Amino acid sequence: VAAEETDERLMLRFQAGDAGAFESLMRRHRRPVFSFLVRLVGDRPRAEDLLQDAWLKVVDAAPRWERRARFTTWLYTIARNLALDEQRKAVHRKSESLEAIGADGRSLAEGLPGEGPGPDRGAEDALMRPRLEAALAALPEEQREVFLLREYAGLPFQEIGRVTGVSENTVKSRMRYALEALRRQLEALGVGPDDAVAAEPRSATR
Amino acid sequence: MTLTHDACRALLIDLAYGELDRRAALRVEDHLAGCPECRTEWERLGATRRTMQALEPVEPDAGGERILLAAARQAADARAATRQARLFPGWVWKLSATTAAVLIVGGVSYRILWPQQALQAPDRASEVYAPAAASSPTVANAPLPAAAPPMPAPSAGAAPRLAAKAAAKRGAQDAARSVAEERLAPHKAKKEMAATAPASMAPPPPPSSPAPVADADPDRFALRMTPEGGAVKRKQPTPDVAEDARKADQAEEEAKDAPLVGVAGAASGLTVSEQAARSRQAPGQTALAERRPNAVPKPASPQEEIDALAQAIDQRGRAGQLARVGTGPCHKLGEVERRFYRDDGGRIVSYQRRELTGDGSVTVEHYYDQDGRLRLARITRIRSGQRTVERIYLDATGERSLSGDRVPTGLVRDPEAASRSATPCGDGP
Repeated sequence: VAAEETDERLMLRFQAGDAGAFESLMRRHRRPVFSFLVRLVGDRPRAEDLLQDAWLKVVDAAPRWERRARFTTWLYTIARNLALDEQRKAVHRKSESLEAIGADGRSLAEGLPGEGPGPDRGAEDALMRPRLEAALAALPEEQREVFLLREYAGLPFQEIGRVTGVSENTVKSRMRYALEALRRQLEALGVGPDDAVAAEPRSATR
Repeated sequence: MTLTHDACRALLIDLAYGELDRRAALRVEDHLAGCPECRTEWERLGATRRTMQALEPVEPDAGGERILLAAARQAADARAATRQARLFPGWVWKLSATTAAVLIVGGVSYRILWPQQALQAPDRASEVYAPAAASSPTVANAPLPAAAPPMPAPSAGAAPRLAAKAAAKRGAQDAARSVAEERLAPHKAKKEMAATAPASMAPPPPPSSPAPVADADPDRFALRMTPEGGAVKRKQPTPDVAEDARKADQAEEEAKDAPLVGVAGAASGLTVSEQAARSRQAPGQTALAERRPNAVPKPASPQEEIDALAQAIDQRGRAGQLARVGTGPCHKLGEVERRFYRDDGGRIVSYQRRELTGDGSVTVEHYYDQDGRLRLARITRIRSGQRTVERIYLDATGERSLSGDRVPTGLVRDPEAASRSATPCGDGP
């Protein structure tokens, strides 16, 4: 039953003092938010910290959440702003940031989860993934965040505009640039359109 | 109606992500069928997407989840007392949820750790609770139910086991309440009690007479349990009553949810006839009978003096008579919150700090006497949602513990130095 409840209903319940509703929200969104953060900042430990901060902020700010706001929009706004704030504060730590990732994408891939390919995944996938991460990491941040939010987090363009504070049209043009840049990157990394067979339906990966 | 080439092209990503309504989607698809350029674009877009979809979500460390749930539980508990929460800043409530547990747990361990106290004031509640509490120091750490139903009052004919459990539960309330009274503002709490429930100070009525309403009323219980003192001031029932009653039920539920304490304690501490006698007594009377020895004036023990000192500080803090300086809470692991309370003379009388660990939090509340010596450290640990509380009483040197036990390291004896050191949250909360 809890799985069918909307995020917004769960938030209302949490506002009313039901900690179980928060748990449901977290189980639903913790992993997608983390995926967003780790690919946005390109550093797993920092993404872990940001993830924790974001959810603590959800706890603290829950009383101020208003029903008309979509929960995911609110959640990703919090996560994104924390990441940007932290990045601003950590300019001097820039050496560890995305620039450190070479064209082969290894440094980012190494920072990503250690679990090996799944039982039904071949060696090709193990080779493919770092290249995909690298292609993503090579995107300018403003395009990357839009792509992450639309492609993986599933936010509509309009909501992405709210999260990033730009118009829907701007979001869409960033998305077009992102898709075009990715296509070129993938080509440059030797991932041709034929390799796309490695892809599986998204529902299976979530 | 057909779309221009440019308009169609602009809508390709909307189509790709399912953001077009059916009619618009059909129009774009119509155009696609007849426009090779757009079709190429469309196919590229799809290929890129399919490739990128091979990237799976990234799994975060599991460790952080527990601390978040603990934080959410604390916040939810505090929110359950919404109206009062508006009177105080959020962090006070975070502490206060803990404080309620401190009062119960602290009260129990207090009696165990200082048995001379029990000797001076033989007290059934402590007999009932001592054995089980020793094996289970976290009486109040059961997860709070969102809305606990009130327990029906046990009837005289209830099964012995039920009766024993109920008696034990009343004992828990009583222990918690008497501790609450001792801990917070003793004068005020007692004055208040005398004013609104004179029967509680009078000799107990014979067993057949009705119980004093005030003592049996869960709302009264809630009022005295409220560590903030805000509710204690209230004399007239207000719409808060329902909320308070609910809180009382929660507290009751907490006691009930620690069945080892209640059932095992009653079994080992009471004979069957005692249980039966208790079940015949009204709850209020039981409470009275057990409370009376404590009401008799007696010389204060060192712990009591220290408790009084800490209570006085808490009370002045709540009344706004102390200057509060603090940082936090900030959002990170490690130290996240600090509070210094200074009196008129600028002396730090209390220093509180909170730290988030990987799986919970540690709050240390330090209390200093007029000579600036650390006399009490109350350490509340929340780990995986479980609360434990430790109270460390120090003698007048501020160095040795009254119980003779080893004093944990990390207590702050020089709060001035701490107040000058770097703040936990960096450049701002």
